[in-house]
Amino acid sequence: MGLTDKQYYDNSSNWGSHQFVKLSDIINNFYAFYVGDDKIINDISRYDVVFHAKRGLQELHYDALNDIRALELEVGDDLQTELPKDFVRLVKVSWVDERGRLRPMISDKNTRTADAYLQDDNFDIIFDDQGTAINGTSIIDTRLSGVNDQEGDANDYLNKADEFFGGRYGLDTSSSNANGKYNIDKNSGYIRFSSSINARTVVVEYVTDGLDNLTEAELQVNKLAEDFLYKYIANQVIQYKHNIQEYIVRRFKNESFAAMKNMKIRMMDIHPLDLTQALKGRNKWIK
Amino acid sequence: MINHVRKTVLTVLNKENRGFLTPDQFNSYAKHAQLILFEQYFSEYARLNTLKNAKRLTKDHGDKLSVVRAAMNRFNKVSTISQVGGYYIKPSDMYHHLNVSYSGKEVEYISPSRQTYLTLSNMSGPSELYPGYCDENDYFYLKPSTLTGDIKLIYLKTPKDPKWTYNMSLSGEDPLFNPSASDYQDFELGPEEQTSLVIEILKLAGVTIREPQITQIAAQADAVETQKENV
Repeated sequence: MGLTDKQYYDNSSNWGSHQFVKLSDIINNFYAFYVGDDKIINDISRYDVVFHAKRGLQELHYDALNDIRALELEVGDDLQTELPKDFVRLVKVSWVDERGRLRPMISDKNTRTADAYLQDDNFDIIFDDQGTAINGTSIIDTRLSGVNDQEGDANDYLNKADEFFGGRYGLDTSSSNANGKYNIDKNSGYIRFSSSINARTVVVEYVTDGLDNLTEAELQVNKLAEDFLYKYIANQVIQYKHNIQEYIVRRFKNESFAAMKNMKIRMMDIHPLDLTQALKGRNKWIK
Repeated sequence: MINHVRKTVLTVLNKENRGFLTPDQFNSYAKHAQLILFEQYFSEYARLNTLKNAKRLTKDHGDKLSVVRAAMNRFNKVSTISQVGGYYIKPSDMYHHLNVSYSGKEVEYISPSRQTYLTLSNMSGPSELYPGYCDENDYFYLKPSTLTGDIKLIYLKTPKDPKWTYNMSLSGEDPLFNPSASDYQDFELGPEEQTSLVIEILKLAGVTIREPQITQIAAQADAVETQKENV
């Protein structure tokens, strides 16, 4: 059962552990209290429950937990870095300045990565013995690697054109940023940076599904989301079981939906003190 | 209990000089009758469970489901089995396995049709935290194969064959019951099954001594009992 005060404070691995519940405990509790001869779910394989529990955990990470991970990496001469192991979706990329502050970068929507097939003199695609098209070096890559914003190329007419892009109608705010740009190649699994980021340290903030960086025994979830996971698993199990009356299926679906809403409200972490602090400036005179 | 059952059976058979059962015949019918009743537990358990979920069984004294469960639990056995050549050999007296655990963790049964899918599953394939086992003829094996320790098996054992043992009397009268014989074995069913055992043995005995009336009476008694239970 619970730890004594001494046991808790003596072992750093216990600190803050009370806010979480292990996924294995949730699966065990689900079996103990939701499955049985006298329950609606009379029998279900554990691997089904494990699957739905992990899927529920992933959905939680995508939707509600706001558990954003950050990874610090140095960018080398090739101006690219690999995506983190448990990367699912990007939140923000920044570089770290001399004072340790983060300088947020923007996504470069005008640059794309592309496969480049080798072609012969007649512009026909060249294939290997297996009938697969042979890849060459992308002209985009070649030309991008030749650009150097920090030196002479700053006055190049192409860069000038970039600078004045949208000039006729004023500044294009979607691409105006002095901190540099990045571009993600999701299929190859790396982030490419503009040349101003060379030799800088970047911080990649991203959303994970909560599964990859931990062993099965370490998987856990905040207790405020525990009830949602039980209802989510029950709903998923009931949805795909036959001979369950439709009104029961709907009831479980509604319960799961309501539990998700409750959980999201709980996880929003809004406190009255934060509100009063933010509203303290409401009577400030703007000169 | 076996002596009492035999005496009752013989009394019914001899009532109107309908015939006699030799000890060997009795033992053979006793074994068969015990197995019939044992196997009926399973269908009975399922039937009563349905009744209970339909709120047609009451608690406490009306809870026949718990009576059947208790009768079945009499055959529960726990055994620790070590791995030999990657396999766990099933106990010879196993009728049906109920639960397998490994280092305190529940081990889940994996059916042959799901084995490949589950092994390839990136989400819920068998792992050290959630291990699985496969059942092949006379042995089990664990998934993942990195698990090599002992397993704890809870299973229902097959009831031992009952044997009414005896000594022959010098005067050539009826054989005398000898419960001290090394091969003596009483029924393993509970005392509440005494009546059912008598009826089942009588059904079989009636056929042997070509006395259809005995079989009919026994079957009738059985039918009345079943009818009472279903009301």
